Amino acid sequence: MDRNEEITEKLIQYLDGELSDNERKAVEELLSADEAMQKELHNLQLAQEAVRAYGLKSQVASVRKQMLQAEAEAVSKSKVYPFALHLMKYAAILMFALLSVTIFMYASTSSARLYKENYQPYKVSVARGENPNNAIVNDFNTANYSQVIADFKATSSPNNRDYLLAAQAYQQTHKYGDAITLYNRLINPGNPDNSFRDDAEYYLGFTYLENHQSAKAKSIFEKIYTNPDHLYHDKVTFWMMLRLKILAIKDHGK
Amino acid sequence: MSKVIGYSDEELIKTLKKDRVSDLAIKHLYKNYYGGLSSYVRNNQGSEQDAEDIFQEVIVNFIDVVKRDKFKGESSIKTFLYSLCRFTWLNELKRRNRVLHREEKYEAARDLEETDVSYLVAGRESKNIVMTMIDKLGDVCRKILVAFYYEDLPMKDILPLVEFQNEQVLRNKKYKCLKSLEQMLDSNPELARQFKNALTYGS
Repeated sequence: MDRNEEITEKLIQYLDGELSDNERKAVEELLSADEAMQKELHNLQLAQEAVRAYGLKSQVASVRKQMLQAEAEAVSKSKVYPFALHLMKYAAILMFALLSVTIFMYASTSSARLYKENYQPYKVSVARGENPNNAIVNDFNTANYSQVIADFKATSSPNNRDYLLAAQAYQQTHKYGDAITLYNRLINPGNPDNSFRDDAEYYLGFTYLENHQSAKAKSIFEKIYTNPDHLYHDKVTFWMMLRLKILAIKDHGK
Repeated sequence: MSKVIGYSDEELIKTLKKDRVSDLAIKHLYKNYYGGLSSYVRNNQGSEQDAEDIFQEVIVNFIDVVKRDKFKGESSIKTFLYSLCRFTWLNELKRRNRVLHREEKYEAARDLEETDVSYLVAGRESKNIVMTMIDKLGDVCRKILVAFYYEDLPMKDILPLVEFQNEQVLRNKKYKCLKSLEQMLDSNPELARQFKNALTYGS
């Protein structure tokens, strides 16, 4: 370190208050006799003042930067939160609506209601060349169901349509056990004559409903619903199946 | 965001006079005065960035004025800052040679009771040049000098900021940084004189 550097270092230490009393007095003595040294001291002092001014400016800039960042984050959050709130609001409305529909469906579903809303009476069609004076058909068409049963019992060799009409007559007179027996005879896979099988299945489902056997009704309607070739496939809808499932739950799988 | 406490004028002056300038006091100044003062700049040919820069300069100047006991409390802080902002912005417009006739008329018609703080902004150009000089010293020098002379940190606390081997190396660097700045001022005596005047506000 040359003499000039030594002097500069002493001057900086002098300004920084790092000299002992003796050292400080020695520097002051040198200063009093050296204009160049006085000028250097003055400039060093000014440089320190400049650094302090720079420090203050940097601090203010830094605080402002923090504030702007915080404001930007707050704005960003305020954009995200309303979106999330809207989303939650719509989700809550949807959940409420779904819950309301579910509760309504659960409360309003019953065998009687399902039957009433979906049951359509069977209509007998007379084949070409057939005797129009068939007693079972005539009595069925006039809704004389007791007589249909009597006619059926009096018939020595009933055909599948006679079985179906008799089953319908039992169903209409609330003799569900007998109706179920006759329908089952028609849908029995061992029966070589499969005519009226689809009709029997469909009306057996309603008989089970009327007889409060919802699980069995659900099972048979499910078979129709999943078979697009079934004669009554179009009559068994998604909503009917949904309500049958609810009914099966309500009836604890009976 | 940290909570910004509210200061009365008296409390703010007392706070700013302390050795270390409080960040909360700076936030208080921004929260309370930036809106009105930045509008003034924007409404008089200034951009948003001009408003930011001028307000920052006004705040720095105000804190320095308070620390040097030049704020006598003859007007409220709000009025004082407004005057400082007006003079600083007009000075900046003149510097840019963009002062239009409208501003000159406005200047002539200004409220005569407004505090004349023109002397406080007279040396702003020399201050800005010296600030640019410090920028030119480089990042390490700036960190060391600001930490030592503004933040009053001891050498052992500055050491980790610049990752030097030991305090002696750091002392040598500080010496060189300050000497560099001194030489810059020495090479431009007129600037040094103006800067000195600006710091003492002509007194």
